[in-house]
Amino acid sequence: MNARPSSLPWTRRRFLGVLAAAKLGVLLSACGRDEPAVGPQYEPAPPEGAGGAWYRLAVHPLHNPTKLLQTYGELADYLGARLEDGGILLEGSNDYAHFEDKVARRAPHFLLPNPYQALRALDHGYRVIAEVGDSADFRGVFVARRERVPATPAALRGQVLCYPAPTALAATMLPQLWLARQGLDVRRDTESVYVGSQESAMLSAHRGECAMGVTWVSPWRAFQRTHPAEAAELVVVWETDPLINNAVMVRDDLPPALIVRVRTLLLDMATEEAGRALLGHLGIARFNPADDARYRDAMQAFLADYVARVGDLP
Amino acid sequence: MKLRDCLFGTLRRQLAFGVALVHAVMMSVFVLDLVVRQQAMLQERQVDEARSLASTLALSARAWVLTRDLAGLAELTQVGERSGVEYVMLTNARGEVLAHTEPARVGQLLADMTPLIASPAPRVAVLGSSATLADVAAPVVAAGRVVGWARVGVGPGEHAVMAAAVLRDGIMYTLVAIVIGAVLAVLMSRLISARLQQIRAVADAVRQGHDALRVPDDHRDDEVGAVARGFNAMLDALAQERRLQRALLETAPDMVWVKDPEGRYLLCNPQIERVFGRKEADILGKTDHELLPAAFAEQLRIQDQRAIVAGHPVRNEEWVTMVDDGRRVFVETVKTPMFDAEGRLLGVVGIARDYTERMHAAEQLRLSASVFAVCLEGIAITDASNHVIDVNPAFTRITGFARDEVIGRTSAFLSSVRHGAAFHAAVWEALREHGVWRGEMWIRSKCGDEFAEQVSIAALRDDSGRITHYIEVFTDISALKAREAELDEVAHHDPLTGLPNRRLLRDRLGQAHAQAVRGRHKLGVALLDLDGFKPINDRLGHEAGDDVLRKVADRLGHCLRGGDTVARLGGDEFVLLLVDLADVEEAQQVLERVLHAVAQPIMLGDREVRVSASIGLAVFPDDAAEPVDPDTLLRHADAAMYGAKEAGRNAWRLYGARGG
Repeated sequence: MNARPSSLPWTRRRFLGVLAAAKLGVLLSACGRDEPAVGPQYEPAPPEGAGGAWYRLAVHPLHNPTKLLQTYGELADYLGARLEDGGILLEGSNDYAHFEDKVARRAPHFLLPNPYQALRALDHGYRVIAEVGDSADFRGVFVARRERVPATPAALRGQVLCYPAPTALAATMLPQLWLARQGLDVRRDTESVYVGSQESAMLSAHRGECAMGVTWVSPWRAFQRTHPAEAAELVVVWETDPLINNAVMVRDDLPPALIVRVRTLLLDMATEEAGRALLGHLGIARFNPADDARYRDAMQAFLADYVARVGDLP
Repeated sequence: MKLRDCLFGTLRRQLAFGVALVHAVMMSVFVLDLVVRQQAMLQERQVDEARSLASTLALSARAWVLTRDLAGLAELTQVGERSGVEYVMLTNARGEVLAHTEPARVGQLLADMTPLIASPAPRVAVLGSSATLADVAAPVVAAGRVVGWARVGVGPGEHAVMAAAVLRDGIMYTLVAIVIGAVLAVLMSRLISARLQQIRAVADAVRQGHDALRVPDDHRDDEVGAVARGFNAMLDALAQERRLQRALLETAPDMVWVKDPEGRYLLCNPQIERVFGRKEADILGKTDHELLPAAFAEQLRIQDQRAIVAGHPVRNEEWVTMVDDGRRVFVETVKTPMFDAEGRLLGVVGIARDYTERMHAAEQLRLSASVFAVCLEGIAITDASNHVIDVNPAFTRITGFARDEVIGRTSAFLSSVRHGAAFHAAVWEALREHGVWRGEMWIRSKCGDEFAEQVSIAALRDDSGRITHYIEVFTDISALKAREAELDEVAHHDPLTGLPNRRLLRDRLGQAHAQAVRGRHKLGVALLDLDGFKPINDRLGHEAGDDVLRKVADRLGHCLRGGDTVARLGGDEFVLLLVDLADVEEAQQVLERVLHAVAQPIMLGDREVRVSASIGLAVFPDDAAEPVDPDTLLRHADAAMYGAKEAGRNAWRLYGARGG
C-alpha cells in the first residue's frame, strides 16, 4: 500500500479554522468592497473679469424673491446671454437691510436699486448706467377697497396703512411725504405697518387689514395682472408725484468693456424684438440713460423734503 | 482528529460534522446575503435620505438662494451632529458654492455638476452612490427657474452601526446555529447510531461465532428498523447457508480445508480431522507447522505458495499418513488461491481426495491388463450378447485371429463342428444357471484347424444380477490332448500296429457286449492267430516279423466294416469285434475276407512271405441259454480259433458249431 506523506494533516480544528476564516473573509469582504469614488469635485471659480465669470445682479426687494425672479429673471438671462462668456445671476434680498448690506459689502456686480438705495450705493462705489423705465412711473399709489375709500387723506387719521417697507422709496417714502404734504403726520396720525412686500401691502388692503395699502405704479400694474380678482376690488385712491425711477448700477471695478456692454444692451433693448418683449414683461417702455448726478440731485432734494416733512430717514 | 475521520468516520461524526458544515454554509450564505441586502438597503436608504434632504433643502433654501442670503444659507448647511450627513451645500445656478458645511468651500465651483446644470430638465439627481456616501443634488427652483442647487452627501451614519450590528449578529447567529445544529445532530446521531450500534454489535458477535444472535426488533417502520430486520433476515440466510455448507463439508468424502494467507486453518471438515487426529477446534487458527512434522508441513507450505504464485488451482499427488489410524493414503490435492475483487489474497482452499483404493484399483487394473496381455491363455471378453469386445494377444496367438478381426463378432466364429447345438446349449444353460462353465471345447482357428481348448467361461453380472459380460479363458490343450491321445494310444493301442490293444479291446468289447445285450443285433468276437508267423520272425528277424504284423493289421482293418474293431492281443494274435451282426452269415462274410486278405503274399523289401489266419468266432448272443460275458466270449473265440488251427489253419471256426 502506498502512503502519501502529508506535510499538513487536515485536522478537524484546522479545517474548521480555515472554514471560519473563509466565512468571515467573505462576510467582511461584503462589507468593504472597493467602490468608485463618490463625492463632489470642486474647482476654484474663475476670478472676476476672467473668462467665464458670472456676475451678480442684485435687485432691491421691491418684491419677494420669487416675484423678483419672475420679474427680473429674464433681464438677467437677457443680459447674460449677450455677454461673451459667463453670465448674470439675478439675486434678491430678504429685505432692504439685506440688500443694503450687500451693497455696502460691494458683493453684487450689478444693482437694480430704488433711487434711495441708488444714492447710498453711490457711496459704495457703484455707478449708475441706466434708469429702469420712465420716471413718471415711479410714484406711489394708495389703494383701498372700493367700499372703503377714504374721502380725504385726513380720513386716514387713526387708520392703519400698510407699506411694503420703511425704506421703499416709491411705495413708502413718497406716499408718506405726500401724506405729510396733505397735512398728516404719518408717524402720529396713522399707524404704519410694514408688511414686507408690495403685494402684501395691496393684499392687506384687500383683506381689510388696513385702511389702505400703499405701493407704487409698477407693482400695482403687476398686481393687477397677477391678482385680477383682488385688484378688481381695490381702487387707486391717490397717487404721489413721480420721482426718478429705479436705477441700474454697476460696481466701479468691473471691466469697462463689460460695463459698456451691459449699458448698451440696456439702452438698446427696445431696438430688438426680444428686448421689447422683455421690456413688456418688465412693464416699462425702455431703459433710459442716466448717471450718478441725476440720481444724486433728484434724491437729495427728495430726502431733504422728506426729512423736513416726515422725519428722519428710515 | 483528521478531516477524513469527520467526513468518513462514524455516523455520529458524519452527522454532526455534516450538519455543522451545512449550517455554517447556509448561515454564512444567509448572513452574507443579508449583509449584502442590508448594505444595499442602507445604501438605498442613504440615497433616499440624501434625496429627501436635498429636496427639502432645495425647498427651504429657495428664498435664501434667491436672495443669496449666505448667512441663512450657511444656517441651512449646518446639520450639526446629524448622523450620516457628510456635507450639505447650496449653490447658485451655475454651481458656485454659496454655503457649505465646510465653509472653506464657499466660492468654489462644482465641476461635476456641469452636465446637471446644462440639463434641460433639471431634477433631483443622484450624482454618486456607494456604501459610504450618497451624493444627491436637488435643484432650487423658483418661478419655474433653477436658481441654484442643494447638494448633500449622506453617509451610512447610524446605518453603518446598524449594518455592523447586523453583520455581528449574523455571525453570532451563524455560530449559534452551527453549535445548535451540531448539538442536535449529535443527539440525533446518537439516537440513530445507538440502534445502528446494536446492529453492529450483533454483526461483531456473529463474526466471532455467535451465529444465533439477532438484532432486537423494535417494530419501528423507519429505515433503521428495516435495516435491522433485513440484517436479521440476512443472518438467517447466512446461518442456513452455513448449515448447508457445514453439512456439505462434513458429508463430503474428500478432505476440505481453507487457510488464510498466513497458512492458518480457517475451516476444515472431519476428513481433515482424521489426518491430524484432532478436532476442528484444535486445528483452526493453527498452521501446518504447528500440526504436522516439519518436513511435511514445509512441503504443504510450498504447495500452497505454488498455488498462490500460479494464481490458479494447482494439483499434486502425495501420500499422507492418517494420524488416527496410521494408514497411508494416496491423495490428489487441488489447492486454489482465493482473491478478492481487488486482487488481494484471501486464502487458499484445499480439497484432497483419497485415491488409495482407486490407485490400488488402477494398479489392479494395470496388473489385470498386464495379465490380460501376457497371459498365455487366450482371453476373450464379450458383451451380454456374446459380441467380442476385447481379446488378449494369447487369443490371437492361439486362434490366429487378430484383435480387430474379432471385435464385434460373436464367438461363434470359433465354434468347431465337433460340438453340436446341444453342447452349446448346455454351455449357455450352465452360464445362466451357475454363471460359469468349464470344460474342453474344440475351437476353430483362423486357418480352419481345430484344436482342443480347456475353456472357462464366466458370466459377469451387474448389481441387478443382469449379465453384462462373458469372460472366456481358454488354454490350448492340443499338446495335452495329443499327449493324452498318445498316452491313450499307448494305453489302448498296440505300439507296433497301432491297433487297439487288449485294454481298449476290453473297453470296446464291453461296450459292444452291452450294446448287444440291449440291441437286436449280435456281436461277433473273432480271435485271429497268424499261421506261419513264427518261422518268418525267426528266419527274418523281429523287424521283419513286425513288418508282417503291421501289414496284416492294415489288411485286417480294410476288411472290417465301419463299426468293427480289430485289436492286437500281442504276438500274432488279433481280435476282431464284429458289431451289429444281423446273423452269423454276416460275420462269416467278414471272416472270409479276412482269411483271403491275410493269405495274400507280403513283400518285405524284395522278399515275399506268406502267412495265413486261424480265426475262432464267438457270437453273442447265441442260441445258448446262458448269457455270456465278454471274457467268456474271448475264451470261446480262443477255443474256436484252436479249432480252426486243428482244422488245418487258414480257416475259421464258430464256437459251438462247425466253421469253414
